[in-house]
Amino acid sequence: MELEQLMQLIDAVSGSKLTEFRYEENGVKLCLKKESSVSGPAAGSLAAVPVSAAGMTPMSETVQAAGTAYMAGAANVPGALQTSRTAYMAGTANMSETVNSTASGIMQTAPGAPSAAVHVTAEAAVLQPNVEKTDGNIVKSPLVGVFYAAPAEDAKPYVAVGDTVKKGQVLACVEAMKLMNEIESEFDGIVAEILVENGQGVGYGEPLFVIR
Amino acid sequence: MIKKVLVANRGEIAVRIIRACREMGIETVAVYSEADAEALHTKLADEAVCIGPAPAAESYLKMERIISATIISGADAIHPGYGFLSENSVFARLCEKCNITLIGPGSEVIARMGDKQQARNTMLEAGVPIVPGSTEPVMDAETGKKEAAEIGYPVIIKAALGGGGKGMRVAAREEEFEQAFLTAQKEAEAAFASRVMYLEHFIEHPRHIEFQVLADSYGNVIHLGERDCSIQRNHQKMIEEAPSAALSEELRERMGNMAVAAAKAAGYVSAGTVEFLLERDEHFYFMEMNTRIQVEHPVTEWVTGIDLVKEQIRIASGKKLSYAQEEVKLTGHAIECRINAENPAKGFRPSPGTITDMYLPGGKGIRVDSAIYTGCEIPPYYDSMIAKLIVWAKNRKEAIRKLQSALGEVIIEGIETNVDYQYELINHPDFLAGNTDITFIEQHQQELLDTCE
Amino acid sequence: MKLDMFKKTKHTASRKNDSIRGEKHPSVPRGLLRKCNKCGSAIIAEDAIADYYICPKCGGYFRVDAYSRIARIADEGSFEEWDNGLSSGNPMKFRGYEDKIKALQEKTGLDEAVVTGEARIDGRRVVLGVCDGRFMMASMGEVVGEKIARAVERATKEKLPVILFACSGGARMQEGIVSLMQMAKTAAALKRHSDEGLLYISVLTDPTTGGVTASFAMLGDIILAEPKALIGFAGPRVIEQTIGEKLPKGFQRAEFLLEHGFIDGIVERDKLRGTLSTILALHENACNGGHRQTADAGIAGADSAAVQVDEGAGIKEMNCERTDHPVFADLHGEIHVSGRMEAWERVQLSRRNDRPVGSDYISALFDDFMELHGDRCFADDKAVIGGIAFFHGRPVTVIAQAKGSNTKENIERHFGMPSPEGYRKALRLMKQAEKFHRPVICFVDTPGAFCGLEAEERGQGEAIARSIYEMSALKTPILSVVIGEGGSGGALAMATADEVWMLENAVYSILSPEGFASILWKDSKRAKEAAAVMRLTADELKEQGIVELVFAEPAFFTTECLAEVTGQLDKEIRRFIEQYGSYSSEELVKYRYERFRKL
Repeated sequence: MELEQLMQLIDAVSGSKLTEFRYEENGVKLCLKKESSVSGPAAGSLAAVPVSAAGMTPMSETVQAAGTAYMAGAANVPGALQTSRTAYMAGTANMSETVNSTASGIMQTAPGAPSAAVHVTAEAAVLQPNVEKTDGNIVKSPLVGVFYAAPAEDAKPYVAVGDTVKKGQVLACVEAMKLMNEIESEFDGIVAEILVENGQGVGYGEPLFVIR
Repeated sequence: MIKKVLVANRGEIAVRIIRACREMGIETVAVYSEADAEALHTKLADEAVCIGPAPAAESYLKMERIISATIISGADAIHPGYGFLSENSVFARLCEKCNITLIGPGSEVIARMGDKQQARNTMLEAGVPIVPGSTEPVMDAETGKKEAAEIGYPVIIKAALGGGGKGMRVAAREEEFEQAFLTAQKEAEAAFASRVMYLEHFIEHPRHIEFQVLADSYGNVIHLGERDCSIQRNHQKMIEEAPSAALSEELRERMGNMAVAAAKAAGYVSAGTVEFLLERDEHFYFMEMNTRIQVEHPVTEWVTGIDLVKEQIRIASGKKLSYAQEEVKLTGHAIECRINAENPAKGFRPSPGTITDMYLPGGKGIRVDSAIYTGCEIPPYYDSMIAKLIVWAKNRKEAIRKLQSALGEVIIEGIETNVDYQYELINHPDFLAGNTDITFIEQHQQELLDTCE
Repeated sequence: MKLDMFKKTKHTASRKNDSIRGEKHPSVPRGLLRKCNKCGSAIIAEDAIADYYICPKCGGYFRVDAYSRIARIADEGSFEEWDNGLSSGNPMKFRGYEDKIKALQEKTGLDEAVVTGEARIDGRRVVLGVCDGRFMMASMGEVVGEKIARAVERATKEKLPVILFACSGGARMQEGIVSLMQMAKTAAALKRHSDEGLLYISVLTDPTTGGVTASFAMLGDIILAEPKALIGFAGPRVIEQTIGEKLPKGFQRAEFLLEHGFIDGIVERDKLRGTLSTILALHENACNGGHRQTADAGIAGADSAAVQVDEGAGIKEMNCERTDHPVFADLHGEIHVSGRMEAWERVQLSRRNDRPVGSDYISALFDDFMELHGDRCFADDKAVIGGIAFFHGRPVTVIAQAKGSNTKENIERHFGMPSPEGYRKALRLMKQAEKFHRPVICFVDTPGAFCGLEAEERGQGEAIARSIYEMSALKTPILSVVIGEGGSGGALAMATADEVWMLENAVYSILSPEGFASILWKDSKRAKEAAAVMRLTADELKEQGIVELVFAEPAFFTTECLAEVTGQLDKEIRRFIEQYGSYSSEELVKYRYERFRKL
């Protein structure tokens, strides 16, 4: 297997919900495993904490969960929950106030597993306390910009929670530098959650929708 | 005044900029790639926006994502640091169009200084000495010989389409010229199917001397003395110091004046660096102008007491320079040593990984600019420099002693570093004697590698 | 380590004038970026425009509106628009059509999908027609057809060259059969233009399809295309639906058409103006009324017409002396000095792979050579290189059978053995030369016509026959120079000329000596003997009146010393052009007829 293919495979596996992956071809055996707990000296440090595919709870819950987990995390799930407190700020001036007030509170998990984490430490979803509640596929933002739920200001949103969507269906728009970029669903299913508000700024890889 | 700065960089320079902003009461926004979600700059900034996957081309070099992050975070300025987009005139122009203050010179200056020929012409007009060379293609030895006499021996003969040392010869004296020219031309013809040659004055064993300049938007330009960056490996600086052991006060003034003239000619605003090659006979030639903050800026900061990043921000906010030329005094001697995650024994190949344990020195006269911490990951995607150890003392001798002592304290576990190699380097008799030029590493490579084994 | 415990910046910077920031507030101006529809990346619109509407990320081409195109092609301020304001009817009373047209007119500022007029390119007058894809994908309805036909008619009247930039979805459905007739109208107007000996250059841009491809787009004397432009009759989606298969990558792209012989070349956008200018320069005589017909016979050759064909013999004799004691190198590169060179030795010399090849002569003897590709039928045969160039300031058509100068090139060029499409390309270029009254200069160097299944399927014999047939009566001077191997009919198909010359060590024969020996003596090993009896050397052929001139070669003939031969050739080609250029086409054809009639 070419190195490149291997890297692609690793990327694919780490991006997926799989916790383990085995593959055999022409005498080459490959086993990729995501550790489900972090131990050793690095445990207390910043193991990269990706957002698991398991996704997000609604905002209010996140705040809470983060609050409690923070304490717990210090004790026995080191690394797993201390999240980047990265706030995704809304861009426009009039938004900034409201966002600011929530920003400090919301503990958004850092989007996307750092690719570097793939080597070993990708640790996982299982540690996330709210996993069971929110399994589903996550649609992430492919760019940095402002999230719009509807094609125009007074138009109906592309989708609402509970809608059935098909792969390739437009779910929202992210405006980056005055260019509208349609966000398509990568999955068939039902919109379980919409994780960002209309008009909110989103970063690359930030979870937008949960599709179940 | 700038209120919120987006730092479009990573690693130690991002941290350095964030620190300056914190001290100035300016809010900061970090941008980070997926590989840097846990990086120090991401954590230290007031906010952070993920701008893409690990490869720099998909994140730190992605102009539209960085601008978009600036807009959504409500920042009013971008500090580009060094590398990445710092000398990209297109990016600068984009910022201008979007009313974003890019901390640095304007896009036109960046473009002009980034174009070798334009930079050369600008300097020529301003009376800044440039390496003499033929202005027209040279096709035969006869014409070449005449040109060479005018340029001054030794001359280097280069293929117009050259590269990789092919079609390149040095003629030390006129007697050698014809032979050297014909050989170079033959090589050029074989390698590039072109007989077009150029001549340039060949500078033997020059030192790399660069002058830090500061310019505001009111036409005030000062220089902050020089840095000697002659210790280089493959054009990568390894150790930088200020002042240079090779400059007399008189030469410093002459070169400094030229640096100021160069910056003025370029229409420069912000902190910048004018690089010269210095010959043994004190002839010096303009090489290029760097339109960004440089890695080695701390040595200048230490001998002048001026915070260059803060000055950059003040200038970008439209303020006048805080200092006049006569207020700039050079005190003592500062040396910077770059610590890289690389393995000197294996051809200096990068050594990414996790830092499992580390200890960095401190104390009087010691500064460490770095973004590493225990448990942090050094991703394989970016530059391998992980820390800069800077020392200051009254004079060069004491500064070297301090550096030796401090470098001897450095412990970084989990990855390979060049610390031992650097340690040997700063103990080398020629370095101690200040006897260095840009071929130093080339000359002593084996020796250094052997001793650090 | 808990990095999340860092304290936030204590904000002290003044916020006082927040409210008066007004327009200084960071924001992205509209239109700053555009999305590339090829690679999808956001690009800076200004950069793309400055760079000829090319995506700086993927190199993909944006479509260019007609006036921007004209601004890039024509001399500044030289464009004068014709027939603006012609309005379209609604022949089928198609619902909503008029409204659509009106809306588009308002949106684009165009009256219809094509802009025509007169302009100058580097000072040379030309009629331009440029389709604009913003207007109903530049489909051809009555107005488009009319504007093009009028522009071409006016060009015919004023004896101007025409350049049309095609870009079209095809005929305009909303106008029904009237649209279809525009194909006939434009094609017919171009035919009249061509019959006047005038130049038409067609430039195909993305996309050129349907009725436009099947009419004016494909009728250029020279057809150029932009890289990767989609060019085809049926659209790819239609084909896919019809045959129920996915089309291969690159199908119907400009590169595909080039390979299949339908276009002369692909020109990058930034080089287009320069290329068009060169082509116009190469055709300056033909257009702008400078018709060189039969009448001006005496003038051109007046002062040097005294040089007669026979005088050439003197040159040969003078040079010939050197061949008596030749120094030559054998196939292994060893240098021999022999008395009289054997025929077989010359055969071997003619085949040496370090011997200069056709392309070497082209670059040594001519300026601004512009290679034209394709037979407009099936393929572009790399065993034949052809195109237009200047010879001492005079346009000529140059065609060479092309061996490669290394193995890779040789494989690509079929070792200089032309396929039927090679001969058809050569013939196409000769007919083009005839139209524009350019002398044709051929370099012959082939072991023979390509021998293979495909060549027979596509009519190798027919292609050679057709070449000989047409060349025999071509109304422009033809010169052929055998520079290496003159292998049989494969050589004659490019040597049915007014004069045939040979290099000293070139050979020209009915068959290879190996083949000859094999057929007559059933033993190909007796090639050396065969060579001796075949009378295939330049001297022997000269004696038989097969060739007019023989040129001496340096002892060890490679590209290094090519100038020694091209120097002599240059002088003689000048003489040839002056002399034959002075004949009327009737005289020319008559002489050529007699030349072969008497053999």
